[in-house]
Amino acid sequence: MSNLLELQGVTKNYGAVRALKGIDLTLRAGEVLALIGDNGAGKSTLIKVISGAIVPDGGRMLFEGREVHVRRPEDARALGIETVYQDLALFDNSDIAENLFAGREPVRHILGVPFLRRAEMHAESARILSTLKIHIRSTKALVKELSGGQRQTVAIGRAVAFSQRIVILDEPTAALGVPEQEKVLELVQQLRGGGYSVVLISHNLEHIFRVSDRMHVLRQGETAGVLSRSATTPEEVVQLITGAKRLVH
Amino acid sequence: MTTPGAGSDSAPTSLAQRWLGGRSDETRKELVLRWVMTNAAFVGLVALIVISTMLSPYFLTEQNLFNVLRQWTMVGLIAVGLTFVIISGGIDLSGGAILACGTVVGALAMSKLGAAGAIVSVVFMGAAFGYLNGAVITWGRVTPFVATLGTMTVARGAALMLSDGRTVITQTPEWFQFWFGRGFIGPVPAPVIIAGLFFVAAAIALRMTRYGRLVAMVGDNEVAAYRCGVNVPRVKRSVYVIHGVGAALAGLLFLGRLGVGEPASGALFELNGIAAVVIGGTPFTGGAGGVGLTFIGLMVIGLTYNILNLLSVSPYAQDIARGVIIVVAVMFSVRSIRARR
Ligand SMILES: Nc1ncnc2c1ncn2[C@@H]1O[C@H](COP(=O)(O)OP(=O)(O)O)[C@@H](O)[C@H]1O
Ligand SMILES: [Mg+2]
Repeated sequence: MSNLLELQGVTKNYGAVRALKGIDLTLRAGEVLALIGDNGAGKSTLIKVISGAIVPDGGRMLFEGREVHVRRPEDARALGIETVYQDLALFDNSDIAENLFAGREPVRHILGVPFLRRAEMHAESARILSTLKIHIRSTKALVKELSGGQRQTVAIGRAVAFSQRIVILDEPTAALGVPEQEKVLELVQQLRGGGYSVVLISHNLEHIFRVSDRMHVLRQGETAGVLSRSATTPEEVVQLITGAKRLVH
Repeated sequence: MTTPGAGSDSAPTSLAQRWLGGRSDETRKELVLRWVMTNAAFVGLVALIVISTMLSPYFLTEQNLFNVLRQWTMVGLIAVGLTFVIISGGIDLSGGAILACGTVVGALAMSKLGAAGAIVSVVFMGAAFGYLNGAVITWGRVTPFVATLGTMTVARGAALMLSDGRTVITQTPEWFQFWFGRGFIGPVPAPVIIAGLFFVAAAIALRMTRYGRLVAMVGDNEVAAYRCGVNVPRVKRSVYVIHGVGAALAGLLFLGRLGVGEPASGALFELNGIAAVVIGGTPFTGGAGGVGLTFIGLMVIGLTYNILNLLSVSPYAQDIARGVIIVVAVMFSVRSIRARR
């Protein structure tokens, strides 16, 4: 498998906090890469670099072997990278269709003014929800009226529906009940089957061992080790997370 | 995925549920109550009209109602801009002062540039003050309250400086007086038509265009808006420009009606404007609301003033009554927001 995305020496400081201290990371085409680490290890910061939500202080990013400069979320979207963030993902006062199409609403120009194609937004949203086997009665429901699981489904649905190459999921199952967690894992497997690359952040090792191909373990802003699922054990992963063991490569 | 309490696709829906858009686990009584709560301002307006009609025979006459509309065009124009600002999560206190500066600039420009030149200058001035607000908020990172308080003082000061603190007397042409002041098209005052067009254009922009989505996204969740590729600072600047233009148009209506530039005009208009927006039910927290709601809120305030006048309530008692009504109305609209949650 070829490298789809490559990070080299990525650093990011928040004031005195060194959130990322020079991370090298590779994501291959069609694989599920689990990003693992304790709270504060730098996982969310790292995926925000990839998705353009923050600009790193140093380092390079290569997409299909060519250097790219992702300085804004639009840049990542243009590369076919979609992200489900851990926090602040949705617009509570907007309806489901408005959330799914946020930032790329279909429009019709009348006298140069972009008018929303609302009917199309709702029809297309209903189609997206049904292909993802998501059951929500009306795409006109406001997101704040939804349950935690439904909200997360909308956030994931948005990323999955519009992604071309890479889907990044930052702790997508954290707030969910068991059946909903299963649903998300199923979705990850579907994505992999469809040829997408997935970066999955999770604390649940059982989930990670079920769906990932490789694991990238972070510890205190540094890479503690990169493992292939078939060549490691949960015990080894825990040792890397806690710092009991370190794989330098 | 199905979740408990979310209802299933096949659950039977009653007619009331379909009309009122309720969830399947609500009884009819709860639904009606919810509808009343979410449309509190509208229900209040209807109640106000019914009660006022019973109290005064003159209240429900064409002449009286158009009079009220005309009296509230200036606050209404400021309230339209405030609707954009508040939906975007901001606030603007400079409306009344921009109006005042507009009347002075308009009166001064009238003699030198003619009426058309005066209109262009005043609108440009309003846009410039609005842009100043937006620039200080986005580049200066000053909170909207403080930034617009500053602009309010600057605009009022500019009005006083340009006019030497006196009323500016000027000559306005007939057509200007007609459209911005005294004219009628049928029974409808011309300024009401101008303000009405501004309301309708604003309602279309907010509800039907992509721009309306951008404003709501910024007010609902700024971080998410940025992550969705929205140019958040630019959207913020734009809402203050719209507000500035609305306030400038209000200044032109003042000039059209009274024929003078008045540096003391428009005092506290911004507060009535904010009251109209909030009474209508647009939440202070941003992300939701609309110009239609603001119109309802404006009419609640306007008709309250009107009926108290018709009943010859003393002006001091009127102030107390208005204060109480504003607080009660906001109490209801805050509740309706909770009901919507
Ligand atoms: N916006 C921020 N400002 C300051 N510090 C931050 C910010 N975001 C993250 N950090 C810090 O950077 C470190 C890594 O955080 P994060 O990437 O969120 O970790 P993780 O997602 O692995 O739990 C933590 O020490 C955190 O406190
Ligand atoms: Mg995190």
